Amino acid sequence: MRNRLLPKLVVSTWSLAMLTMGGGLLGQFLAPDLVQAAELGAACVSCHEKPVASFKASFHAKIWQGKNDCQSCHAPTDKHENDPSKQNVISFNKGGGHTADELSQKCLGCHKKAAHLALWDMGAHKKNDVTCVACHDIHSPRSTVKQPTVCFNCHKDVRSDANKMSHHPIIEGKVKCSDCHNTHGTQTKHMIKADTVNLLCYKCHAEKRGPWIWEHPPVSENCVICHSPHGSRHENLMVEKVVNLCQNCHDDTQHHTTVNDGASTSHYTRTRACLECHHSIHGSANFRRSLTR
Amino acid sequence: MKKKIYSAVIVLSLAVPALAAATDENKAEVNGTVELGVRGVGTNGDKARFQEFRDAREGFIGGMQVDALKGAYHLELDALNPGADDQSFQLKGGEYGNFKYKFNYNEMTHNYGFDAITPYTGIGTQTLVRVATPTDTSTWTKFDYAVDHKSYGGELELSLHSPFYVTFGAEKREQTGLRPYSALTYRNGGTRNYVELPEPISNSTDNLNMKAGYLGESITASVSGTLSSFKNDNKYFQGNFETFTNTASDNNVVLAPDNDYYRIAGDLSWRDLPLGSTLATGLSHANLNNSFSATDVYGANTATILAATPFSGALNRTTFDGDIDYTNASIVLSSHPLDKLDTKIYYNYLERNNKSSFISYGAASALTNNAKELLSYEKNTAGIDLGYRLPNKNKLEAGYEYLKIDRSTALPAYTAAGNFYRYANPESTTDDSVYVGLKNSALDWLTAKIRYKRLERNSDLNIDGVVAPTIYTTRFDATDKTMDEWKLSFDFYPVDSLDLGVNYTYAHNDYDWNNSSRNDDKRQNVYFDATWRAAKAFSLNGFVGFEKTDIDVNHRTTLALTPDRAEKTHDDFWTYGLAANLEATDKLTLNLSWQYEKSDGAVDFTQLAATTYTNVTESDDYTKKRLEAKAIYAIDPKLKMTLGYLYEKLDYSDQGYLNYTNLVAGGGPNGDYLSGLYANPNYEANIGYVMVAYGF
Repeated sequence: MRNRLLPKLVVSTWSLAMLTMGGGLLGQFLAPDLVQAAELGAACVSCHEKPVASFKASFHAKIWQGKNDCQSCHAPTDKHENDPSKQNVISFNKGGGHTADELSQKCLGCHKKAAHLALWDMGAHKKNDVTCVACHDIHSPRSTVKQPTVCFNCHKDVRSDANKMSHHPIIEGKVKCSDCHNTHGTQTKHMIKADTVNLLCYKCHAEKRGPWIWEHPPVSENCVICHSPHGSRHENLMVEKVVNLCQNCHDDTQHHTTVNDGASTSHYTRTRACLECHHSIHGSANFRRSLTR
Repeated sequence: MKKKIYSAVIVLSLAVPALAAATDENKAEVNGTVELGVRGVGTNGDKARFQEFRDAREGFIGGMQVDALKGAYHLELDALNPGADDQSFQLKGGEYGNFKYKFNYNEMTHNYGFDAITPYTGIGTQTLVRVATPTDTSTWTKFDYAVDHKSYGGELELSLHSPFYVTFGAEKREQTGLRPYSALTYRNGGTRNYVELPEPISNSTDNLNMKAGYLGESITASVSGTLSSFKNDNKYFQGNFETFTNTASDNNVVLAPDNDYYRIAGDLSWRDLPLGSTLATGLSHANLNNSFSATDVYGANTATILAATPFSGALNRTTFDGDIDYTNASIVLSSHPLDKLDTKIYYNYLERNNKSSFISYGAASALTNNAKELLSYEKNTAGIDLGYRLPNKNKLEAGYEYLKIDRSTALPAYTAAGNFYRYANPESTTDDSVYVGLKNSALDWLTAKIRYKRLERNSDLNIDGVVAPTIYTTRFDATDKTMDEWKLSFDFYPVDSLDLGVNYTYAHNDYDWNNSSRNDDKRQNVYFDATWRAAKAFSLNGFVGFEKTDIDVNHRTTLALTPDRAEKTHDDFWTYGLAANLEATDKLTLNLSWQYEKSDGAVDFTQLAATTYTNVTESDDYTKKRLEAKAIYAIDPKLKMTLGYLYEKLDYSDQGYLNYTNLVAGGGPNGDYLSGLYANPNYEANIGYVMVAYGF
């Protein structure tokens, strides 16, 4: 009953709330005291018509009307106006002559007290000279990063994995890079948002948490021993074809090591192979010792 | 249909006030887009594979995006695919420095396989009933392997223009549907056979988060807490799986138990310390626990199961209390001691302490107790990273990391003979890794990077030639090895309109002590990328990727030290793509993209003993093609029409699925009962759509 009613209740409640509150919430925006936008980029527009136009439509320009102008980020432009070279202004484009750290400091001047940037100095992005504007387009209406496209620009191996036959729904937009990674810096490896890889995976895969009566130790230790989290050419994000992967560790005289050669017709190696019987490979709550069921 | 109506109500409820605001120029600034269209779909083949994570059915499609601003207040709304099985809604906003909030509702479908069949009825319930004649596949029940995911929740952060803030978040995740499962049909002796089954999925996870923090000029600190509770409506399902041949003794499939998780943490970051330093430290404690009884997992069969083989009344306890602690402590100091030098020193301690119940129903040395499988570990990681800026825009980086993992289980009950798993005694691995890299950007048109990393792992897990090979597992990931990894990358910008990139990685793991099991693997990846802004109105993007993985494994079919065969597993993958964007006229934009993937796997055997083997030539081989074309026509500045077309084709072949039948060996006592899962994932799909977008 819960499963049938709850979604309807939630959707209905949401709709009702939005009908009543949505208008109210927006209502605070309807009061007629909007300050007209200042004439932004007056000194720059004659040469940089498009960037000024995009900046005027940007979140940055609108949210702090009158407080930010082109010079807020690009530094005073007096010298640049007389000698229009990139070196006479802070340019975020290629060949601007400023280090990544100098460019990011322009952003951190306002944003360094943000909680999510507390560990920027510790992160791999800073270490590898990734600037804020490498990901954030502050001239766009929203400065939200277009994931995963922006991430794929540098992480080409991830782009490749995410497009493979078996993949997390990253390209479908159902899992974002930032769901698992804090790109602004963490104390963890690969900037993951949890103390361990497993604890990260358990956030969505809570049914894999256990605790189990019977554990499969590599599973308990690290999911990525067996899984390639972004994608794989093998089913279920496995790092290798299941039968081969299992036999890397399980080597004995029993059926576990039935040879999967080109002539094999054994059901131990066909279809889903080992997983056809050892389905509870992540752990078992059966009092009987079993990773079968 | 009901879903589409509900969704339409939601979208309209949000769109109406937004549109109203947008029409009043004296009010807040509201921008956005409302999209509505219709889609036609034609699919041949495996629709489930084509729609694995998406609802690409024909019908109406739409979306909405609204941005509203007034002073420091802001609001963003997104509605994607309303009414579809992959719909999502997000509303977020707030006032800078004062508060912010976020609500979201998200649905996703995970389609594993459609039109599967099983020799059982009662699909979706906890009781499956075998059909009268399971060897007659025409009497089997048809069903779809698919799980619907829903998540919804919200978060509120209050800072009230102060350096302090508190955050509250709540989220619920739900899963319902049928997931692939397999069960042994003939377990208590004889040939092992299996039946593929639909596991009934109905579970939910409730998450609560709270965080309180301080954001100062130099110091950032927070304390946080997380509560997470997983509830599974189905602790088991049952059926006469073993009565294909004999009397049932254990017909329960035991599923995931409920669990509760909490985590408390404290974090501190201190900037502007001497030598340009920032110090960050964090401490957390987490616990994962549950408690369940034999009755919970065996239901009405409990008494029968506990009285029969293998328990025969010898189970030491009929309740299990799961209890795992996680402790994590870390400290990082990043500094800028010299003008051109950056340093980072770090240490991390991580412990997983499994204190769950000891379960046994036989002799300690036999396979009837869980003591050797309840994994605990401690990890100590320490390292240093250095970056030094050399003349001519060169940057040198180097680093060292020490990682020691101590694994153990609760009881030192290990005896060599007859034990399959090896965690009775503390066992450890120690990794020493160093790296050095150089980046050069002296030329405006070129950035070049090279990086080398070497890792040496020393382990006391090694068994080859050291311990009699009665221990049947060889964890290749935890034995001695050396790893060498090279990374090269070049980014070229020969002219302003052209960007070129090359990335190459070579990694080689040599498992020094593994005579049997994996003893060597090599991975090579190379990617080429190009972006050419050929004209103001025309751009081209392209990429090529090639990945090659080779794994060498030695195997034995007896417990002799000498392997009887060597396997070389080859995984080759290559892909390329091309995308063009043309602003044909002021009003017409054309997008065209093509993507191709080819996966090619094989296993080559080298005979080391008398037996000969045949190479595997088809191992997860596939080609995937995707063509997308889009024409966007601006009818006026506020109204755009998009005409789109998508073509996808997947061709898959694998030795394990050749000559696939639902009944293997004719069914019966020594047969397998397969549902059709993954048997024919090939598909070819054509999608056409037309969409109108109104911007305001």
